[in-house]
Amino acid sequence: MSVRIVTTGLYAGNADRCLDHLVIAAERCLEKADIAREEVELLLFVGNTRPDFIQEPSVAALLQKRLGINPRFADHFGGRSTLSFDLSNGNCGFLVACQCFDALARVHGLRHALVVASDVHHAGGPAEPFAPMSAAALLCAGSSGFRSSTFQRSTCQGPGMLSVVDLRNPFTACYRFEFEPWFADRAVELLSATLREHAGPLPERWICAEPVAGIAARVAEALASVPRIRISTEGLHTTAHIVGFARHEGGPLLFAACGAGPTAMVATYEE
Amino acid sequence: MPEPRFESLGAYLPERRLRSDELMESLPFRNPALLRGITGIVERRIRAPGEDSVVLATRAAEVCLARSSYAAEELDVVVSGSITHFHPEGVVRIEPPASHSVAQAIGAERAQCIDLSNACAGMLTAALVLDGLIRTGAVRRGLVVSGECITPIAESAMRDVRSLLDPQFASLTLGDAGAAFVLDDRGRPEERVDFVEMVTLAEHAELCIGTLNRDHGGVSMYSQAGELSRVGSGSDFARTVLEALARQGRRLDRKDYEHVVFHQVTLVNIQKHLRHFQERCGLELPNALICVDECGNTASTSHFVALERALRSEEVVAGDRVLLLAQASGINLGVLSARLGAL
Repeated sequence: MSVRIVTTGLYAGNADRCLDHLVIAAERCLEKADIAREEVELLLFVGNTRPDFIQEPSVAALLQKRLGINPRFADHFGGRSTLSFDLSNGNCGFLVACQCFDALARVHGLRHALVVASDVHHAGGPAEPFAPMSAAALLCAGSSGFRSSTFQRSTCQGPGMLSVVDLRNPFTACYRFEFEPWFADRAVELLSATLREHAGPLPERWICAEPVAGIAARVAEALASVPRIRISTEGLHTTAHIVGFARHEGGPLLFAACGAGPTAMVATYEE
Repeated sequence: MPEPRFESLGAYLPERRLRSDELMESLPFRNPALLRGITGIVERRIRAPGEDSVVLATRAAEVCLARSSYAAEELDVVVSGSITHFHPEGVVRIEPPASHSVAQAIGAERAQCIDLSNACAGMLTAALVLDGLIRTGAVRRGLVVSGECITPIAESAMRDVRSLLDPQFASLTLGDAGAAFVLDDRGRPEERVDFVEMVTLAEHAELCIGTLNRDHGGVSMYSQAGELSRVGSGSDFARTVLEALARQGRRLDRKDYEHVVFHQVTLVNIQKHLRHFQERCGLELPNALICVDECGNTASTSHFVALERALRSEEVVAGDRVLLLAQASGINLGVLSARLGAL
């Protein structure tokens, strides 16, 4: 992978609707960038919670429209095009988005992608047990940034973590997150194994997206090679990596995530 | 740079069939032939109890792998492109991703799992991503899969629709299906994916929305069908496709393509596309593959269900070049060009 994070935008305020939350984070990200928004060629939504429980079209398309990023046929025929779609991979989502952008950038010559994550209930409130947060990152294809990633999936029975949106009753529609008692133990084992397999030396700082508090600390206890300094992303889920990067003060970084499956993914980042 | 090819393809259709005239009997329309008349859909398949999105996807993946030279454990990645994730009905599963459940069910033990969602262009978007991962050498082979357990949306419409102008009327065209294909890195001139391109024209993103039914729960699809048809099937769509082909030095005619596969919305919609292209090109158009009359609109799986049925009936044979055209909510438009081997 050769994908660099250019700017980030965060929003944890009280916008009335989930889509407004996302738009504010994305606007903050784009305002800091030194490119015109029309230069965003790929827009990916990686959040778990969806505005107004919308299943179709992609949330990314709705965002593209609200942000005014090449939404019309005329833009397309004028030589500016954007593709938008959603990725639903829990807190591995941001790393998967970087991986997809890297491939599409190299094959199709794309330069910029906008990735937006959110854990906000459709009405703008928190999607328990995660903190209400929307986060956006502008990515640029190039020769620095993410170096390599490693993915592992457990073969144990049952995913250990289940998140659903229950729409059976329109008056009580809600998101629900459930964890098996063994999930944290398996996640620690899998993330440790993935870190051991990941090639090359690990940086001094890391961001670990963990759906259950304590997983990163237990991995750090078990593995001497784990970075000494962990950037806090407590209570965050799909937004953890972008928020962690926004809090990072520079230098090489390790991104790690574990989630339902259990699955684990790690990637090293250096500019 | 490695070139991808379609290595294997499979689809799964539930056993139970529901004819359009049967469906209409439960609705307050005097003419039971109305739905068939305006859509060309004779029947669609309906899930059996327990056949949710993951089960349909898994069945299709099993069919696909039975024809593949690869075992499940040799797959580097499984990419799901489903819209629907009912588990059980009325409950939409978010985590774990559907790709994870399919990988677990088929024994793809070392595959990375990716779930993406892009309305009815989901499988073609997954093909675009996997095509990129293969061309860049990130993976060597992967499975794209989708299970559309989408008739709960049609059943919701059957409770609500009272007129042809109802925004849920288009939901009556939906049918359940699963589809899967393997792409690998062994493409060559005789069989390869030539190119995949997609674009989102988000100005029209709200013309078709699947969301919570605020009257009785579950998911319903609300379409501005007339406007959607105008935009998604109109001259701008034709121009988008023809320009994409021209960039690759190709044309939409029988010299370049034996077959074209449109998103299977309705028979009438496909005929409208063909008229538009005929008017613009003036060429002899490729043969259009059609399954919507017997399967309904099976959402993201529709191109591959049509292709699978044409392969099994030998309407499509090894060496044929096919053009798959996406039009989906978003609005997403796209093209996938490929020459097929023995599938």
